[in-house]
Amino acid sequence: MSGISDTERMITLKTVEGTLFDVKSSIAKDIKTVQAFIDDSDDDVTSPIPLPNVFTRELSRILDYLNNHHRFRSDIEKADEEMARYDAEFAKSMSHEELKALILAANYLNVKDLLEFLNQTVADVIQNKSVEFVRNFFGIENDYTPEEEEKLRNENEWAFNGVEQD
Amino acid sequence: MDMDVHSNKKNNINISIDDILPAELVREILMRIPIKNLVRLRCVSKLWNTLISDPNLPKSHFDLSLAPSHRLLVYPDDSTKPTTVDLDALIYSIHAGGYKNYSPMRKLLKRSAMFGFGYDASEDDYLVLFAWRNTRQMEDCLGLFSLRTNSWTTSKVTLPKDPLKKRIISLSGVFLNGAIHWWIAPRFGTGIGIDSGGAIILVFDMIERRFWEMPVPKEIMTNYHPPGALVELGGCLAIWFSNFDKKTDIWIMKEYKVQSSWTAYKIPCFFFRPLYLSNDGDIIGFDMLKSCLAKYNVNNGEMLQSCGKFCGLNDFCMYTESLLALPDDFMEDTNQDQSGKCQTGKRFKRAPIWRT
Repeated sequence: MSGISDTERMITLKTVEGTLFDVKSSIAKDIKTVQAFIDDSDDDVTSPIPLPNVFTRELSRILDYLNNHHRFRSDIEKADEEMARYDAEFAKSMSHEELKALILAANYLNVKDLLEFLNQTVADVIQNKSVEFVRNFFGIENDYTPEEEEKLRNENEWAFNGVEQD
Repeated sequence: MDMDVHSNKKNNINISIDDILPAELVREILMRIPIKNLVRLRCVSKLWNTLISDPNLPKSHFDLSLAPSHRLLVYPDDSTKPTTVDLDALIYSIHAGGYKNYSPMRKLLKRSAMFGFGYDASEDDYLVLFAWRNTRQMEDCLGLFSLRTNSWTTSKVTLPKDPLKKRIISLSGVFLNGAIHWWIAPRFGTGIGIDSGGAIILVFDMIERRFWEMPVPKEIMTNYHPPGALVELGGCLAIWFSNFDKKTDIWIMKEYKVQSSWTAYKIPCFFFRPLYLSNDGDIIGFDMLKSCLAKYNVNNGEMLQSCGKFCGLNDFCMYTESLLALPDDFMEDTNQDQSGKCQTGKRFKRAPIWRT
């Protein structure tokens, strides 16, 4: 991948807000939804590809992630260590809202590695937290009656030890 | 493919992003959450309860193994209640739920026999294995009990190097990589290496259903002092023994069947029976002199933590916690514990955590 010169084909992506991003075709390959669009087009794709579900903030993050991962992979020796450090920073740099928005975008664009990483990030955030924290985090409304919830909590009492402070 | 078909959703985009994640994404996240936390999250909402109670979830959760929780089940020497220990946090819990004692084994164990328990992936079957010597007819026998068919098959077998007669063996085998392994070493005092090589690892291949011998590198044998034993650590086969320097030596075969991959570690504890090696290089074992569980850094031997007090480690097994249900006939008397509370979701199954 790294051996490809400056002449590599570029693809233009267009976000909801109309922002245009030029992306190397080697990067676009990791964005499966875009790649499928290219594969399905008979002619060379020259006009910007519209991404009606993706906002500028998310696309810019996703491209940042993919570009960096491509760069790490070209240097096998340091790849794992640098990638781990980058990923940790990447996860830390986002608010919970931004994290959720990015998951939706990565899911829509079908960027597998990133999506797995983000799912793990969310799992790490919520796994030791209280039920109330998780409801807040996802914006879920509690649809149990107090009696139903009480019963379920009692049945699973053992699972409620060692919950972290929110 | 026209990606503009989605544009009529534009007005709703803000809602979909700020609202909850789609169920399929939530499911992906749930796969990465350890069982105990998963059970608690059933209380989040009815949808989450449905997702977590989905009969397909336990298998995917276990197979993907993205959030395995490792536990140790101990039957103490003093016949008190079985205890479980969370090995990831080294937290000691008071009791396990119900458990089933396999009484046919107890009877058979009175014979001089090697035994083991393993998984045959080709038949999706768990097998209990016994090998013993019929002294009258001077022949070795192999008995296999299939949990799938609930039946025994026995056959004649030739055990290499007559392990049941000449040497000390670790009776219970270690299951790893689709095979059961036994440590077969010379009896103490007979010297090492007298008869070509001394110790070997005897292996029973679960799929081919045959025995073969794995040699042990000479370096291990140079320092070896009985008793030693085989153990599975971090998905690798390992041998441990207490050394004359009052420490415990642990040799780990990093790559299965690759002799050059055996690597030595030293734990500054005289009788340290290793049980579990985490991905971070923490090793948890039973300190037999202090009768407690202890955690060390395997690389530098630094003592990190100790917990619990056991009369002894009579019988124990390691398992990965899962939501998988045991077959119905196993579950008859396991669903209620002494307090009468249902242990929903805490059913566990001894499962091949070493599956690669």
